[in-house]
Amino acid sequence: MTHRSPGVVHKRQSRWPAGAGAVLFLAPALSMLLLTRLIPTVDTLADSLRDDGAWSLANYARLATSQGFRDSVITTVVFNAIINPAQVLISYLFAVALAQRLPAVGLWRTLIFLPMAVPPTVSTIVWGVWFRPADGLINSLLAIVGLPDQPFLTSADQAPFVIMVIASWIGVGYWMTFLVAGIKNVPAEILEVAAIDGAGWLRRLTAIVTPMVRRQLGFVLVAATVANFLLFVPVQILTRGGPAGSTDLVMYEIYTQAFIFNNRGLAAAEIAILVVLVAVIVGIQFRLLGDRR
Amino acid sequence: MEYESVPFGELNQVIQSRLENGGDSPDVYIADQPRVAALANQGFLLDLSDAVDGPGAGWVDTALTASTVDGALMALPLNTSTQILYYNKSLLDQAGIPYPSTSPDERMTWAELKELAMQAQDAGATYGFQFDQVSRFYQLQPLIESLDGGSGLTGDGNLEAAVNNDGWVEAMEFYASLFADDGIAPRGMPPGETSGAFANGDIAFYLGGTHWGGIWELFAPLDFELGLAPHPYFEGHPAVTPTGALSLGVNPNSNNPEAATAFAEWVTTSETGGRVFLTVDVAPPALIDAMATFVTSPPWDGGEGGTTAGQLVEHELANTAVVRPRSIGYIVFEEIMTRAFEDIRNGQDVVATLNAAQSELSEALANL
Repeated sequence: MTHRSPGVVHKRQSRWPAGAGAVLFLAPALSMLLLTRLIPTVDTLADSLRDDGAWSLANYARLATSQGFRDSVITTVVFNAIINPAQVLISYLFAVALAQRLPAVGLWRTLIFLPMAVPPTVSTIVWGVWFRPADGLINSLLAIVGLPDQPFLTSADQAPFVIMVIASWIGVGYWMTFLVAGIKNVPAEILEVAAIDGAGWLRRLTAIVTPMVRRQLGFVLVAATVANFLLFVPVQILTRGGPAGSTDLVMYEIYTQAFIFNNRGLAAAEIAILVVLVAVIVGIQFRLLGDRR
Repeated sequence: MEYESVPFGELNQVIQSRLENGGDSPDVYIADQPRVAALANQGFLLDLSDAVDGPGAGWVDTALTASTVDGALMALPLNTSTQILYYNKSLLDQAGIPYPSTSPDERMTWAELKELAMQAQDAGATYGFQFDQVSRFYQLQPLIESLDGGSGLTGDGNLEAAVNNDGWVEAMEFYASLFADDGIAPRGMPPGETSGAFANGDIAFYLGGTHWGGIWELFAPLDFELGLAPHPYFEGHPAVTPTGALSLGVNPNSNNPEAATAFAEWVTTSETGGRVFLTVDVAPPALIDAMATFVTSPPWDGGEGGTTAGQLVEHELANTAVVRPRSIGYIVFEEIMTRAFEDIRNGQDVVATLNAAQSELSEALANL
């Protein structure tokens, strides 16, 4: 302890250089970031650039000429062009409905959110049984209203949509919670004033509420896009990319190359391309949704 | 000793991820026989040629062949397999169909089976017929080989694709016809659900592994009487049946390779050791001496029409069984063909699907 003379403020002398404390406190987070993000990223990139023990672009060259990979990328982009807007729209409709003063609103919100708490593997298997063409629940329900049996997962035309339904059943409730929070944040006074000025419910929704939750809608769109580009479980369990490649999403193609064909370098190159693809699409979304001044 | 169990569908991926970084666990693992060549090629199997006395140590030929790579014994055969045509006697009675013969000399043709299955379906069975391992190569290889289509892999080291010749097309056209709209078997039912559907009484004829008979007899009795017949064949073509099962491999990075090898040897070459697995695994043993006990034990001792079920198993393994192609490309082959079979089952054009599989497979094999 140093002697304190009155009126003079002594700076406390630390044995550590300035900033050491900050480093110490940040170390756990930084090391996790390094271990779980940075190192695997660099490692994957390095894997993608190695072929037979030498550095080369051979893996990328193979992908450039691979019909299978090209088809898989196209399938993935088309799939996402449909599922992402659909998920945002449906979760917004749910959010709008459940932001109203409804009886037992908590119950409805819980029910819509609940699929998120079920492991995706379990819900995929259950949906798979329901979508069985010969004896599934969905075809039985269609029969009640007089519609013919549908082939669902056994048809190249319908299988992608079945996968979308399963993925959305899981995702929509989750995205909805962000949007409900956004809608609840819209100040009641503004809506009241608008109502007094004669704006109807629909007009208030389109002219006031929707613009004011644009940030949340943007977040949901970006997050859903990333999640759906990485969609894997329903494909692996139900279709293995079929029928006729209709559900061969890039993540399943990567899994096949890495774990079934044992082609790690090629899989790493596919991952690199997928990451760039997602980054570009998310970048475009940010630009389109960014705050306009 | 610690025993670890993983679902069969994940076995390969688990072994792959555990061993590829030089992991020392597990010491001994189950190696699916058609994967032995690829596992050995990756350095995941210890050469066991010197571990057992004499050539073969008394295993059935097909199991020994399937465990040998370039003349070296890379895994020790644990069991083998064959298939039997099971039928639901109640559903056949309901359709007035006489029970088929159990004799391999009087096996049904595919055309006869299709006709009877259709009759059973018309008389009320939900489905006339189903394959146990639907859309898997193990199940379909006998149809293709019987029509002279070959195994699908050819050339040096079996690294060339040959999956769109006439034999393949004919076999696949027949396969597709079973599942067509006016067919006798359901689409969209994965292999894991077929045995349950038969046990539930939904299927009249079921071409399935012998282990199912054991499971139904010993662990999960059926509510109907079970009938057995030999695997069907194409008229004018040789009878061919599937085979191949599991071997035990030793991890080259095991901390105790001698003890691991000794254990694998005890399990696969002694009846007492084999029984450790046979109590939980009702597939026929690869050890010929143990086979004698197997085919005279329940449920294989109960026969009819002069030929016992056990004799039927012995007959198929000795005369009609074909091994899946041995190649480091087998895993790639199986994955691509499983998808193609499933597409064909779902009604995609046979020739176009096989041509696409041929080019995809050629590309993937070239990457190995």
